[in-house]
Formats: sequence, structure tokens, C-alpha cells
Amino acid sequence: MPSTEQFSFDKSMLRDVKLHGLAASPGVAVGRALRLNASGRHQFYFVAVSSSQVRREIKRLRDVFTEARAQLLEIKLRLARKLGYEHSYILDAHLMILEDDRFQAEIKHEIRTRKINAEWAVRSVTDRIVAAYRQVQDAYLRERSTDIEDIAARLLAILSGENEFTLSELQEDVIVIADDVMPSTVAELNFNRVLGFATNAGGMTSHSAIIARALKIPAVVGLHEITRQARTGDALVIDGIEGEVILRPTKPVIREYIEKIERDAKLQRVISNTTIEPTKTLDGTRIILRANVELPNEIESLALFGAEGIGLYRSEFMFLNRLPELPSEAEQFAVYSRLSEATGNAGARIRTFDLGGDKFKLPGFENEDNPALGLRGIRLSLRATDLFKTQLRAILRANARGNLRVVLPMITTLNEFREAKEMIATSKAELNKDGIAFNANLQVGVMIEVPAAAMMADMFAREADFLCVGTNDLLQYLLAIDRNNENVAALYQPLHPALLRAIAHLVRVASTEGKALELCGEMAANPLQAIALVGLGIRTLSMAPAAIPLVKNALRSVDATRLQGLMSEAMKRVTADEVEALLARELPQHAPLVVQASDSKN
Amino acid sequence: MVQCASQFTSRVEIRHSDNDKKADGKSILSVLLLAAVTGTTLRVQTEGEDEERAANAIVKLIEQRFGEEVSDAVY
Repeated sequence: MPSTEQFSFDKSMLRDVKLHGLAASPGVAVGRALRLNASGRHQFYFVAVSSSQVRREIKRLRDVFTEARAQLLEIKLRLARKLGYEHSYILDAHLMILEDDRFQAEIKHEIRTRKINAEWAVRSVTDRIVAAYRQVQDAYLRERSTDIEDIAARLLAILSGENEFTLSELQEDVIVIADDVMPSTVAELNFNRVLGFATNAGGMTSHSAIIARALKIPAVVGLHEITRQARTGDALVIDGIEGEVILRPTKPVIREYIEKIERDAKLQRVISNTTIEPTKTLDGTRIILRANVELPNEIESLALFGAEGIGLYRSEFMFLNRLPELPSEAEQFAVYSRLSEATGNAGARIRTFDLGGDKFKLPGFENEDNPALGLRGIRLSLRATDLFKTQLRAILRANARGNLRVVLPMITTLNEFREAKEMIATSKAELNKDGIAFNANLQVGVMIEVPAAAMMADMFAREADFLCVGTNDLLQYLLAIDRNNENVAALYQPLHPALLRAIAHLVRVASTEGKALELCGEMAANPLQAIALVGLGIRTLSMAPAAIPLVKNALRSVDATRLQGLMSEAMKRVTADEVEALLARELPQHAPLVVQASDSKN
Repeated sequence: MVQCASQFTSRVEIRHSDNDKKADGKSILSVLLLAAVTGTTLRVQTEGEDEERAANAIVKLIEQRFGEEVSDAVY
């Protein structure tokens, strides 16, 4: 068999290539790839022009700026209509740069003095600016260089005459693959034609991930080299629940996933008729499923997916794309009031700003070598006291109906909790003094996500109004695994007995102290893992809204009392794999779909 | 700040106190490149017909907008 064929062996022909990434938005999609190339999309060249042509090039440039601005304004409008006003901030920086007279003036100057075509002038000026920005120490400012690249790409596209930016006119359903999707590109896609996203870069908070979740389409990010392995037109499967992509799937694999999609769709239909009914297991144990919310716009999906209020509002998302500008008290008050109104009696838990790290770096704070162990969450809030107080005042005021609660992130020692409580008391006193109306009865919970807090949970339970386990970070710190680090990501195992034991411990402590225990984290969105959590005694879970129907359905099919026995057995297992095997054996219908490698080349 | 400066006909120049770099106060690209993190001392210089009004407006803006959020010298 091996022959000269070997020399012409083309990697692009390999079928069923499985790539692992981060499940950024749940759901499964099968379709054809549309590969977007953010940089180097356009061919452009150097042309020396005569003095008389300089004038023509300058006019071309002016027209292009006008056109680009019109395009951006239109995209902003579309984005605001589709996803709400909060999202359209994404484009403000773009517009400001485009409207910067000096930017255009510098390109004109380049055309005049070097006597070159507009394309080359745009390229060389933006290259210079980008190079200057790259040298800046500040992460926010460095980030602006991608905005400039994005603008340059747009200007060049318009100059080249080929209207590449016709993504809004897509006539075919596609799965968008890209290195990382630029905000303006995501914004102008025809959302009705996009089945999902798969990207090289990015985490749960990348633009593509957030927008995919808001649109309720699947997304897998952090795939590293999908743009090298897949081309426009290639068939692929993206599984936004397992965080997997299958390139050039063979027929049996496609069939398998299509069945899965149909099953899910059928399930979704069945569920959509019953979503208002509360979740109960077979033996009648009541389970509360709440939604994790990042953007106020997701509120609309709560009723659709049958969420009982908001279990986690990630307030730091208010900062997205606008640092260093800080949200004012009035703006926060408006957002929190909206959360309160939308959730009624079920209520919303607002996690105070979990800032810090590299994603949400506040101006004035140093870059850290090890942000995960650095100044973040409550540690930062207790230093940036003005910022923290502004937030607390807004929450206290918005809590008019008394259905908002506060959860403090990254608490490690009791002192931090006490200090935060003091600041809440101070904020109340100040509001009182100012004669501003607020609700003094605000419940304050501790996010248990640092192992030290889990060990000391009994002490926290005595002083806090409730506890909330954040499994994503607790697992990261318990196993010392950075799951965004591909070298160790495979060791990030939610069913690790160490985490199961920690959760069982928290359940015991909360019950002894008579305090509520809630759980949020991606585990809750995975039906099998959610079942395991209920088996451990968790009764309130919070997850991405779109995941609720599936989890609800899974929980309705199990017996909580029986699960308790199964989980005591699981905690005696030594590894996550053993736990998973045990659960898969006992709960085969909920085990994740295993794709059989197929020999078929069809 | 750029938006504020752009309302005036005067030339607006912002200087970084540490490295003496200067920026055109009406250009976002230019101002961003100053890389002035919060807490930096900036010198504002205006020149033109409405120089006084422009300078006052910018100083007032910095006091109100940034001042409110950066007091206590915490961040």
C-alpha cells in the first residue's frame, strides 16, 4: 500500500480530526466552515504615484474614511438592535480612532511626501502606530493596537474595491472559524446564518464567546490551530458542550451528531412546554436551577430557558471594552434595578467586581507575574475602596424590593469578609446621611473558590448569610491547574474526587450551620456532572441560561436518594477517570457522547 | 478628554510630567500614546482664541470625571 502516495499525502484530507478547546457556548452544530482571516486578508501593493495623482489618492482616502465611518455606525446600530445597547460600546474605540483628525492627516502626509498610493500609506502609518502601541506597558493601551489593525483592515478592504465586508449578506449557513473574531466582524455577521464559532484564541470572556452565548449558538474557543487545519468549505462539527471540534467528519460521525442535535432539539421542545414547572427529581427532591448572567441582555433568555432567577451576575463584565472608564453609580443602579425587576421573587445574586488578572486589569495597578494568585476579586475591591463603595451603594439602592443579594469573590480569610461587611455598613450610613433611599436588609454571601475558604467553611457559614461554591476557580486552585494552559488542561477534571470531597464537606457544613449553599460553575451546565452534584447534596445550581433545559431534563430522570449512595461510592474512587467510569456505568443515558473513531473514508 | 478638547478652536497640548512626552489633546491616538496611567501628573497647555475656556474645561473635566474616581490615591 505505501507508495508514492506518501509523498502527496495531504494532511488536509484527514477525516474525523478531533480538536479540543474550551466550551464557550453550549450546543452542537454541523456545517461548513467559513474561515475569516483577520490580518492579511487583502493583497495590497506599493505604487509610486505622480504629483498629479497625489490629489486623487488623497480624495480616495477621504472617501474611504467616510465610508468606513458609515459602515461602523451601521454595524453599531445593528449590534445595538440585536444585542442591546451595552454591546455597542465595543465599537466606540474604533469610531474615535477613525474620527481622529491626526490619523487621517498622517496618512495624507505619507501620500504627499512619499508620493505613494493610499493603500500603502494606510499600511505604513498603521504599522507605525501599532508598533508604538506594542511597546506600551499598559495592557489596555496595548489592546488598542488590535482596534487599529481592525480599522486598517476595513480601510484597505474598501480601498481595494472588493467589498469583503459582506458578511451581513451571507446566504449560506456557516460555522465561522478564525484566529480570534474581531468585535466589528462578529458584529456584522448575519447572525441568522451563523451556526457557531470555533476560534484559535480566546477564553470564556472573548468577544466570540460572549456573543455566541447571547445568540445561543455553540462556540468552542482556544483551539490553537483550527485556522491552519480547516479551510472555508470544510465540513465540521462543533460541540459547545464538550468543547470539541471534529474536522471533516465522516458520514457516521455526522449522522451521530445530527441525531444528537435532533435529540437535543426534541428535548428542547419537550422542555419548552414544561419549563415553568419547577425541577424535581424522581423522588420529589426540589432542585433550583438559576442562570449565570454576564450581560444584562441575557435577562430576556431567563424565562425562555426556565431559570429561577440569577444565581450569579458577573458584575465585572460592565467593564468589558471600556476600561479605564469606570461604570458610574447611576449606571450600575440602572443595571442592578433591571436585574431585580426581571427576576422578581426568585431574585439575583450579584457577585461584586471580580477584577484583576489580565482580563480586567484596572488602570493604575501593576501587571502581575501570576495574576491568578494576585490582586483580584475581593482583594482588589478592598484596595480600590471608592470603586467598591460605588458598587455597594448602587446595589443597596437597587435592592428596593429586597431580592438582590451580594456574593463576595475570592475570599480567603475571614478578615476580608468582615472588612467587606464593614464597608457595606459604611455605605449604608453614608446613604442614610445623604437621605437616599435604600434597602438596609441586604444578604451577603461568600464565594467559596479558594481552598482555604473551603477548609474554613464552618467559620464562614457562621458569619455569612449564605455560601456559594464557585467550582471553576475552586477546581483550578485545588488541583493547581490552569486550564487555559494547554500543557496541563487535560488535568482539569471536574469529577476529581478531591473536588467531590470538598463539595461534600461544604454541604455538611452548610447544613450544620443552617445556611443556604448554592453552586455555580461550568460543572452545573453539564448534565452528568450536575447529577453528580445533586448526589453530593447540592440543591441550587447556577449555569449558562441555555444549559438549563438539558440539565433540568436530566435531573428529572434521576432519584436523588439513590444518587447519594452512588456519590459516596464515587468519593472512594482514586481518580477522576474512575469516577467518570463509575457514573457512566450507573447512568449510561447521561454519559457524554463518545464519538467512535471511524475507519470509513466516506 | 479628547472630545472635550475638540470643542475648542485652540491648540491643546498635554504633557507627561515624567518623561516630558507631549500629545495633541484633540487626538485619541496621540493621547493614548502618552501612556499616562492614573496618578500621572499632566500639564495642559492651550493656545488660541478660546485658550482660557479650553484650559478651564479640561481641568474641570479632570477634576470631576477622573478626580471623583481616583481619589484616595488608591488607584
